[in-house]
Amino acid sequence: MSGPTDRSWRVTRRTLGLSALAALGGTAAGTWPRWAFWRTAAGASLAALASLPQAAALRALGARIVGEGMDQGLEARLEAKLAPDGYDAAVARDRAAGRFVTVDGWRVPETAALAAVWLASAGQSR
Amino acid sequence: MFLDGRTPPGGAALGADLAIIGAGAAGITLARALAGRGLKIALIESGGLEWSEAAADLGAGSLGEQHYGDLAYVRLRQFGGTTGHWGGWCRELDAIDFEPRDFVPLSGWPIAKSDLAPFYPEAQSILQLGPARYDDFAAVAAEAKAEAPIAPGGDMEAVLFEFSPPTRMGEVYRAELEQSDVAVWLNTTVSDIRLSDDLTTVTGLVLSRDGAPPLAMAVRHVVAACGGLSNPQLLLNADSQVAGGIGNAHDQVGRCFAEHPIVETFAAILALGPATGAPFAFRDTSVGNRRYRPAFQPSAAARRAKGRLSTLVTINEPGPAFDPATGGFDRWDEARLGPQATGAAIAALSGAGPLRLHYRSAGFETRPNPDSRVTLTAARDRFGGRRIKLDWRLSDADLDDYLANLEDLGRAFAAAGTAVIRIDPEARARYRADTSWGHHHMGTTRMGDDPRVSVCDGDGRVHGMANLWIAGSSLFTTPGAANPTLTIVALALRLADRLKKAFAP
Ligand SMILES: Cc1cc2nc3c(=O)[nH]c(=O)nc-3n(C[C@H](O)[C@H](O)[C@H](O)COP(=O)(O)OP(=O)(O)OC[C@H]3O[C@@H](n4cnc5c(N)ncnc54)[C@H](O)[C@@H]3O)c2cc1C
Repeated sequence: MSGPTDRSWRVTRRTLGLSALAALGGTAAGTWPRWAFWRTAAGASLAALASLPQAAALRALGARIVGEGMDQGLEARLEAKLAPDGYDAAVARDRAAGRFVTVDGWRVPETAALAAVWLASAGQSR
Repeated sequence: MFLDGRTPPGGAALGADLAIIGAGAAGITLARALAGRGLKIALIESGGLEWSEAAADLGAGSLGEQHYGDLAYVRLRQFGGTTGHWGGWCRELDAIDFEPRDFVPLSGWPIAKSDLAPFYPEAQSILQLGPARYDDFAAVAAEAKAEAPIAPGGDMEAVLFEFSPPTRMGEVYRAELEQSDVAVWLNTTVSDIRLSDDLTTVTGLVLSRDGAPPLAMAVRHVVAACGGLSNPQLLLNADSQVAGGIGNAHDQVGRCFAEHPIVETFAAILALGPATGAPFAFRDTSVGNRRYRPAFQPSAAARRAKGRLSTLVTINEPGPAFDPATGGFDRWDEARLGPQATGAAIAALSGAGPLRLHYRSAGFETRPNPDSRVTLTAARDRFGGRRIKLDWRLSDADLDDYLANLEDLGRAFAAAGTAVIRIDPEARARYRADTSWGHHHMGTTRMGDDPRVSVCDGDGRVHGMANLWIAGSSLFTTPGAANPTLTIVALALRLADRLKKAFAP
């Protein structure tokens, strides 16, 4: 078995790579350039993510997820998740409905995963 | 009365109304249940009062591709059998475990749980347990002043194990048997079974012992209670009159070997805060003088609806603790938990208070697989008996059901806000290499109505034989997910009831 970092990447690619991204409403991963994130104007609900108390944790999580480029559907999907009552309520809805994405084996509510990817990408671009 | 087979009292020809082969959980239960009725009972045990390498060697054998423990040591050849070091985990099988299920080939015991139910209470007391409260989670939790970690009524339900002290049958019931009318033969190995000319009735046993020639014992009824690996070995080796061994006309003896795969490292549970159900939800709890451990399993309705096998997930050792102040865990185990970076991020997202990871353990049900089997090899033990080969086969379909059950558990924890679960994404790749086992040897002389796919009938009598019976988990038609010994004892009590009728004038 390769070293921890290699293994982690492999796992991330396998678990969140193509299938999970597709499940999140995207097209094939790897086709959307990273700069698209910061060129796209984020809505108010997205902007609010940066001031969440768990923003740092989300960014750290996002760093585990980003790595192959992202899809165009991300922001629209995330905004839809956050409407009308914001992050905490959206995460609670995911938990209740069993909507998760797997990151390195952990179950992450879809909203948290999307927010993590968004924050990590936006953060890198600033 | 105890006697040593190596130096038995001489004199009259040996004979018994009932010979019970093997003094483990099943054999001792049977002997106690039938003692004091004027029957001449011989309880014949291969080992002595203490464990010995020489006795253990009689259980040695070889393995197929799937790794497993050394067969000489995965059970105990001594008075008391493997209860000499069992862990005491007890739980009844569920009613659905006995039912035919169209999504489980070869499922459906010839008896229902209601047939066994009258015998479970006495089995509880034999194993020094309290009244059964296995499905009484809410009430026991309330008495323990603990919260339930998942909501009731969902696809996954919280249930209980109860721990036996654990009862060492050889110690706890030794004095009683010494004073009883049961003749306990120690250091005596049954090496052959002799049949009537029409091959339907056992007439005698061949008793082998060290340092002396074999003895012949005439018998009226025989119960093989040698454990799930040695019961098929005994039948297969008894081929001096019947090619292929006794009860093996359809080549079924030794097939459908089942274990409970234990995949301790395939998942971790991050308990969210001390207030949310811990410690009861995740650790042992005592109510009065009884010790319980919570477990999570798919409900019978969910199993039926989803076509799933059962799983019993328990929370075992506590793992690393997360400190929100430092944003990290106090220790880490990448192999089990994945990258610390992800774990820490999840922990930080999941709650503000101190969090602790728990490693979980699970036994899960497997589908009967005729290719998973015990066979004889050319190697022989010192009494001339052929040794066994255990070719345990693991199936991906069984693992898939287990992982799906874990996913459902993760959803139930998440919905209740009590825990986050991690399933190793590499679980499938690691399955065969990293699977451990419960030391539960099941299915090798399975009960069934159809002799083409079973060895014994619903009473435990070998198909086609008038007076040869089997006791132990080799009878299990399907293994369920619960540890077997409580059910072994209940089945032995049921067989004792059946034999009382057979001996009734
Ligand atoms: C480490 C470990 C932990 C376990 N923990 C649990 C647990 O927590 N819960 C649970 O339910 N189960 C547990 N088990 C399994 C449990 O021990 C067995 O299910 C139980 O002991 C089986 O009872 P038995 O009477 O069928 O067989 P055994 O107890 O194995 O007794 C069979 C007896 O037959 C004798 N014998 C074999 N062949 C012959 C022969 N040819 N002639 C004469 N005698 C013979 C053997 O010497 C032995 O004494 C555990 C097992 C192990 C090894």
